[in-house]
Amino acid sequence: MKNLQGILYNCVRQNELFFQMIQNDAVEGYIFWERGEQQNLLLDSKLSQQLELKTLTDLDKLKASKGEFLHSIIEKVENQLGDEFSENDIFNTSVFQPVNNTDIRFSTCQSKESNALYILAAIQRTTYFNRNRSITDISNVLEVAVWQYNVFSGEVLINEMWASLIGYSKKELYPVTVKTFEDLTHPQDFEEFKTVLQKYIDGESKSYTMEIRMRHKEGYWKWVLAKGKIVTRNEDGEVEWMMGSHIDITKRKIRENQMEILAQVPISTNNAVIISDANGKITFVNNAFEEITGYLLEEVLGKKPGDFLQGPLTDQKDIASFRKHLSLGRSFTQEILNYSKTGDPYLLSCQVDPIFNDKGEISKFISLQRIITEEKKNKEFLATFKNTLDQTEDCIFIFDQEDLKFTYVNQGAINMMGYTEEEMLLLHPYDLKPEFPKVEFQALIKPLAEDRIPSIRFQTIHRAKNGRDIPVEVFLQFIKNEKVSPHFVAVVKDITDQLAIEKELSRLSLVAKKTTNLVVITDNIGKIEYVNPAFEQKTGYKLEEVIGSKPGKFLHGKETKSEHIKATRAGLKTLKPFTQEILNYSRSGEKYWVSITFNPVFNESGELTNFIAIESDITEQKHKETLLRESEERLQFVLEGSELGYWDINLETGKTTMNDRYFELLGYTAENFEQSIHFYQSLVHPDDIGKLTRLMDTSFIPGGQDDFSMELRVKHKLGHYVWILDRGAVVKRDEKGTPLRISGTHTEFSRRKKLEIELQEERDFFSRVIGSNTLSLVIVAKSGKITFANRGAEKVLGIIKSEIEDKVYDDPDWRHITLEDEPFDIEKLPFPIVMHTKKSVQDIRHGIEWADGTKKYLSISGGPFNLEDGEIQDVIFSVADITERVKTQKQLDLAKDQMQSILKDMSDVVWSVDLPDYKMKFITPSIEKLTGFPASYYLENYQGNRWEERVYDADRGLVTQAYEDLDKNGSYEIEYRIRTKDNLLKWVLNKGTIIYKNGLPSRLDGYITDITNRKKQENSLAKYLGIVEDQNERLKNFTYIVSHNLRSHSANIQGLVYLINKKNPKIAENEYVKMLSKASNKLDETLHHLNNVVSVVSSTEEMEKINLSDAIATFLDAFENVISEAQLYFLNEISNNVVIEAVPAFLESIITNLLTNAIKYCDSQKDFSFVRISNRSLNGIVIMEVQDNGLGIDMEKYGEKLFGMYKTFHTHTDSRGLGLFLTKNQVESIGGKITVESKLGVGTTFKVFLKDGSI
Amino acid sequence: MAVFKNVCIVDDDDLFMILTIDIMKDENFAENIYDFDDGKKALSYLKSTDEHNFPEVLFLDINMPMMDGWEFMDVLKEDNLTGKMNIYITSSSIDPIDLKKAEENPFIRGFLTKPLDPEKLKTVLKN
Repeated sequence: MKNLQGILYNCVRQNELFFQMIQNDAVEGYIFWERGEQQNLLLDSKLSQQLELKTLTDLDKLKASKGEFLHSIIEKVENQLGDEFSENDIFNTSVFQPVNNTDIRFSTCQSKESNALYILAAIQRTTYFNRNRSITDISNVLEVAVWQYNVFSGEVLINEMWASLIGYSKKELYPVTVKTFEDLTHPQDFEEFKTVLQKYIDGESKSYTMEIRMRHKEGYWKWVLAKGKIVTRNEDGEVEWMMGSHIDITKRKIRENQMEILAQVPISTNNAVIISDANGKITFVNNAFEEITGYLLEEVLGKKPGDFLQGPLTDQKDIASFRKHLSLGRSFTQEILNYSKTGDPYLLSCQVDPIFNDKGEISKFISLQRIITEEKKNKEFLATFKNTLDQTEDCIFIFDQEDLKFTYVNQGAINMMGYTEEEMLLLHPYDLKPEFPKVEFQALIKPLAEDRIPSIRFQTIHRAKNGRDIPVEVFLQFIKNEKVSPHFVAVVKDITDQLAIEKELSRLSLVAKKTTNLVVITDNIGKIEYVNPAFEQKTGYKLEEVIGSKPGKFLHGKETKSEHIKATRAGLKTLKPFTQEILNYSRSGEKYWVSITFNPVFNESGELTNFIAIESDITEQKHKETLLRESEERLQFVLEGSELGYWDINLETGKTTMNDRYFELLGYTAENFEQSIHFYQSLVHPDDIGKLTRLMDTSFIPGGQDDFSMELRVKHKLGHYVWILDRGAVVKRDEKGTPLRISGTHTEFSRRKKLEIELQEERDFFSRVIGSNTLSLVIVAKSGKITFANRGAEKVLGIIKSEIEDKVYDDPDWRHITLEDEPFDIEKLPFPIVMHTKKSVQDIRHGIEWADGTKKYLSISGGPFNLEDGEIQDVIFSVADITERVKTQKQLDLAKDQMQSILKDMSDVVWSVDLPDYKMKFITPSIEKLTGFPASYYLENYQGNRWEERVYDADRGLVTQAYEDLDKNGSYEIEYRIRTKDNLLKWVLNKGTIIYKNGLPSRLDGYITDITNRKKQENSLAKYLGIVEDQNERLKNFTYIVSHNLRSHSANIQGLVYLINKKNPKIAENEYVKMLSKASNKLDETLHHLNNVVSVVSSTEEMEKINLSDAIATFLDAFENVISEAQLYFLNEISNNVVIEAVPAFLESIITNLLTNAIKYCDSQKDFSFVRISNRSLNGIVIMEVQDNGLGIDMEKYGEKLFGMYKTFHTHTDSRGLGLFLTKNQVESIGGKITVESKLGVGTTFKVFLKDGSI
Repeated sequence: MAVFKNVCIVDDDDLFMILTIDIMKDENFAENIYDFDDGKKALSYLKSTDEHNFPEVLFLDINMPMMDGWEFMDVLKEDNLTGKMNIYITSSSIDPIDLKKAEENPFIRGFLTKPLDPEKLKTVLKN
């Protein structure tokens, strides 16, 4: 390391300018270094002390702020030096850093030994040390991005905020040039930037303001509002330095770029909107709601609108109807009287729409409310009085008892307050009276309103629009009659003049002798009448010395600025109190700065008598201020463009400084804003004052925190509160660390800002709603073209957004149909109606039918939402898919019709019984058919239970059982017998189910069916089935025995007989063997017969349709000979077309058997024998009769056995007795019946009942 | 000279067997008559018999214990023995179902109702 100290010593000897600079110019210190060797700096003790550094310093190792400070000087000097330099010159330069600057003089010295160039830079003046903290730091704290740009050199300086706005740190961007800016800026915007800047520099435009896109470190674009102003110009008047700010406006830009539609959704109308969850609890209200009701969103969140909006006069019926509608979960409109927070009733029309989630459950209700109360109800009344009152010079204020809003002010009042009439009508008396905040004012007028006193007279202050306080005397009366709503009338007189003297005198008395301030009282021409001890002490002049002389003569000195003197004189001439700062001299010649407040004093007649001057010593403050002013101005300037209010408080002097924006935020101007902490405190909302005092307790103490940020409500000049984000930083502390000065910014976020935020939230919400598919929205432009459709609409209409947006409302693609599928009148579609009536429509229902025949049914509500000059531009519709509902309804209607006709005709009895008293409430008329008693019999009032009386005694136990089932299961099903009116027994099936309502049994519904026939059938069938099965089984076994077992034995016997006959013919001659042979053959024959019979019974042969006359003809062919031999008349009376159903073989056998029998047993004794066969039909049965006049049978003797096996009733040789047995079996096996009538010697008639096959 | 060289009778009815064999001998119906009182024995005989000595006619009863006539037919068919001889059902059954069943079986040449006599044996000769 080089011995810089030694080199500097040599340089001073070599270059005498160095000595001069060190002696005279290095006010704040100097830096000495070798060119290009910045890691080795020599600082003088003054500079190193101020920077709290060692005298020898390495620049690279320094921390940000200090390093930057030194670096900026060194860099500037080295740059300026360039390649050419003259050793014996002193150069001047200045370094501008954001919000601070430094004047430097520098010179060089070339080492004779090494040829190295050494530089000495003397810091003449810098604002860097004037703050404990760098203004750059503060600008960072205040979150203002600041830049400085040297138009000549292209040099660009930025602060940390500037870099962080686009995601960088300042270090990352280093070194910053215009190129850096260009690289970071959107090419399009950069081109524009150059044009805009040039115009400004050329003086063609008054400011440089533009919105540019800058690339964030992460690649996306940030929107930045860039503002700037020219700061310095060179000797030729050319622009040198520019300075400005960057503000992040990305959010606003994004918002701006959002769909215009969102902004226009009806939500942002003047109508109040409430959104509640499925339980009716509020989740959102819009601004209009807040304005109408006076409730803020945060107040009503989670509450049900009905819990606080309705009041004593709200009609209970309306409330009930409202609830009923809500519970139905459908859209509806209802008028209802609501109350605002202040108790004002207002009538509104409320449209409520449920929003359904994907599951079809209600997730939200949206309620749109339109006030329909007649506005300004007192307007007529006031008009009458207006003229009269306007004539008077006194100020008349009339305000309403309920909301205390002015309903009328006369011209005098308007003149006094400086507000327009419209403004006045928005205000309340307490807005004008700073001494009477709302609560106090209400207390004041309470005795009047309660008629305890007729009137009040009091003095107070009215604060005019321009902030001027006007002392007034108020005469207040309360008017109450039947014609108008109760109101107050105030007659107000300006008493400024009256109070002026009193006020001044009181000021005089305030000037205590002991005050540390200097007090001078002069007469009306400025000659001293009195000075206080503090004055004597400070100036060194005694009262006696100065009395009679004018203060300016001996107090002003060489450096007292003439402009200050002029201002003082001018001020005095106004005869109004004013304050002026001026530099005075004491007797000893010591300079001191004072701030003088001059107060003119007038006598009763209004003549000027005295001036009282109160002077406070601000020397120290002034000194520092001088140093600070420049940088302050710069900071202020930067902030000016940034929409931030700037404030600065000097805690030592109490002096406050604010920029115009600061005043503007609160509705003031620099002229009418009282610049004191106390005044500010008086503006802070009582609820927020704690924040302020807490801050003072924590920050404004030694070692307290430096930076703060808080949100306060501050009273606007117009009386309302605005939300202010107050950010600040302690910029100066004394040795003990006690803050001396605090600077900060105000950002407004209330009202407009808040509205903006809320609007944003609202938009977000609605864009979610719109984006979701729960709400289906379609926007139709006035041309009829659909310009917008959301996801919900896609879902409902079943086509994609772009397809929807391609259509007009009455597009031929979707044929409009009514819910009954008839063509829908186009003029009655929602869109033409809205366009025509300019009103909203609700729940217009129609269907659309697509080309492929698919149908959708829709419920459409909507209305105009974008009006220009009273003409509708767009109509927004919400479209609900009611296809399912309509279809269901149609089905339901159909089902109802069907049900009705069924009820009318059915034989089943439907009934309903009220619980718990078991009283019959309803029973269908068919009960009469069942029981013989009409329905009215069961419905009339009766002690007992008429139905139960019908129950058959033996079955009562079943009914008791049914009641037990009912208790257990809630239903029963039993079959039992009842007695009819005619004492017949009928079987019924009775079913019943309990219907619950709200968890309690409310009804028992059921039905009764007559099952008598079924029961009968069941019983006979059961019997029949059992027998048949039994018989079949037995027959099978029998068949087997016959055809196998018996037959095998019989076969063997036959075989043996054969063998005997063959082998031993002698034995065969034996009589017994002959008999054995005969018996053996008989046995075999019998077995064959038997087998025939049983195979008939167990036969599985198919039934066929057979023409009966054909069957008879076949028989006649086969037995022709037999008939002719028998010598009898065969009478065939069978009709030609009689068809029966039978097994053909069986029918043939039956006919053969019956006819051959009849022929066989004809009576040979009779002259005329006949066999007659005939038929007749009866109810699906064909009866075939075979009649003869033969031998006949003794029915008494043989009747039962006639059809038995092996019964013969005659001694005829041929009779074997199997015939009728077989016939009967065959008849029965084909589902028929055979009967016989016979008389011995008269004849026999067989009747065969057969199935009619023609059916 | 007998009509057939080898005839086989399968029947569990002893009396029927005696009567039948007697008649066959009288009528000189077969040189050798093999009689079996159940199907299994008959099968094992048939399986062990060479082509030369295979029976030309087999009389089969339906109702037999152990293995009835229909089962016997199934096994014969499986062993491919059905085509080598003429099979007749001999049964006392007059059940039309049995008759029908016999008619439907292509390997059964005829249904002979017991008892057998020279007339019935002659129908076998005719076939």
